Amino acid sequence: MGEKRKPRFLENRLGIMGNIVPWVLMIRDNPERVAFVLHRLTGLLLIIYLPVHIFVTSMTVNPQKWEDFLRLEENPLAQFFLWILFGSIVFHGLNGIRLLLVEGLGKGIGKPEPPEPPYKPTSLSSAQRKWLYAVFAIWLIVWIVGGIILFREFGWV
Amino acid sequence: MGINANGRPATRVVKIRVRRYDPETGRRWWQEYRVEAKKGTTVLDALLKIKAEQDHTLAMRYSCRMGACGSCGMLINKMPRLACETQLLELGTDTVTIEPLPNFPVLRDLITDFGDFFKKHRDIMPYIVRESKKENEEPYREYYMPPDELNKIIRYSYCIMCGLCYAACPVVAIDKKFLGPQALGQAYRWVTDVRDEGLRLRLEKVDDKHGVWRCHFAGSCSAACPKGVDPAQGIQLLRSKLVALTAGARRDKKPTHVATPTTVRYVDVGDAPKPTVEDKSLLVKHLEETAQELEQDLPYVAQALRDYLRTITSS
Amino acid sequence: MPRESTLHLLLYATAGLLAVFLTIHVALHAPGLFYDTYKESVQRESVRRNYENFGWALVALLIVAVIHGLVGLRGILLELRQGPRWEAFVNFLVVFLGAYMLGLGTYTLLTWLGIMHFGG
Ligand code: SF4
Ligand code: FES
Repeated sequence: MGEKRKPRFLENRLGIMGNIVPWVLMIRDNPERVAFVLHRLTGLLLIIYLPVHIFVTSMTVNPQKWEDFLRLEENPLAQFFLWILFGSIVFHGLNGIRLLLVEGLGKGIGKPEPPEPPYKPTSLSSAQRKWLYAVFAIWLIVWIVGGIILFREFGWV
Repeated sequence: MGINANGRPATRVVKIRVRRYDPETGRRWWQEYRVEAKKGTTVLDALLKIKAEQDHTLAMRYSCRMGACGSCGMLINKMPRLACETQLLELGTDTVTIEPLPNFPVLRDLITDFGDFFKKHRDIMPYIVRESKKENEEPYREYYMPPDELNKIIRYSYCIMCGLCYAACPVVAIDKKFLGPQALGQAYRWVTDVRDEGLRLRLEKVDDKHGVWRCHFAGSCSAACPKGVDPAQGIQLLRSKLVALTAGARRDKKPTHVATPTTVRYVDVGDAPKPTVEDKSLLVKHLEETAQELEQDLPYVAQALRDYLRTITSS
Repeated sequence: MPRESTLHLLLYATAGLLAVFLTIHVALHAPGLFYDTYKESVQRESVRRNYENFGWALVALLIVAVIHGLVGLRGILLELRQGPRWEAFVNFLVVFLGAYMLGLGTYTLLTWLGIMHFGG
């Protein structure tokens, strides 16, 4: 008789991959999830940038150091980062206002009425969804227009 | 092979790829089967057919086959669904991939362990909690609640604990301590219940590092829920309630028209009426009235009642 | 550490304030609004004028941004791993970062105010 091995169970948590790799899990009709991932990525970028920004600002008190830093900003990579940063702030801010209404005040997600078949979730079809599309639209417009203005000054376009 | 009204063949052979797991060897692999599907063939039907005719080692869990028990949740074409409520042909793909629900430990093949999930549900105390110890420990009568109050929570009561929301949640995917959409949705269901007084006790779990604040309204739970429970909505309402409480809003007053055992205790309800069956004339009257009421909508039932009436009046 | 609900009330309150403050902060550097170019807005002369005119508003922005950012970061890190030691580390990290940022930011402002005071 073959010896039975102790069964091992598989920890099947999706992990970060389940958050950022789109084909691990494909939830349909769920742009809120896209917004969640973007909100998190932009938030991370901003909180990493914040200490750096405060450090850089402290260099203004020293004229020599500040000159050196401004020369660093001539670098196209730095200029491109400025644009990414601007986009992050705009998205995080606009989506943040939506989240403030939804999470903090419970607005835009409909009322908890008795569900009827085919069981469409109210919160995903209420005002909040329209705000979300507005957030995406305004964000892209502001980001692109801002980019044009910025890159024109830097002499890219 | 017959032809449908729309000119397509009525049956189609669908390739089914199952992600299997053997706990004894730790091996994990994809296995392919072919199943003939016609209109109405569900994924669960197909799996049972495979188990009966092709491979009896395939393991899955199910019970009701009608979307009521919540046992058969699986990842079907990368979307958490109930196998018994998903039709093969409606998926519209030639190959259907079936995997165990993610975020649950896999026991074997498609069977997952719901221990953590149920524990989190128990943690939020899914029952009526009263302030009076006596009422909690020796309940002796039901509580009454007005219908409009019931309507506010009935959506959340439809939860069948299938775990699809838990599998879809991006936060559960990384935070193993997070209560998850099902438990938090139920927490809202119980604190909103007018008969309940357990808000403070539940806050211990809900207002925790891994409680309600870990939700970020990705909404995937609601998108996946097969019962329209809309846990995302419940969580946001629960959270805004907490925000208001923390900001110093007055704790919302319970409506006073909730009858509890304590209030009923002082009302003399008298003895129970005599069993109506013994008093034949009352029963006859009642049956006649009911039959009349049902005549329009349920003629068969009305007819059955009349038949029954005839037997008791003739005896 | 304060209760979670208190922290998150702070998160929401600072979020609302940031929506206003940060818009102004970004607009100050946007070409064509207060300055003709971005480059002009980061010249030392402009920086000096900013500190002179809205020094304490900048400190308010600093405090609000630090609170919002760190409560948010703490949440992200708490979701990443679990366990008492990790939680202790995260709390320490957040307090440390907060002290660093607030300290450095206040130092910058005080130095600028000092320069102005001594006729720099
Ligand atoms: S809330 Fe919906 S998806 Fe989640 S366990 Fe309940 S019925 Fe299933
Ligand atoms: S078998 Fe019961 S829900 Fe699918």
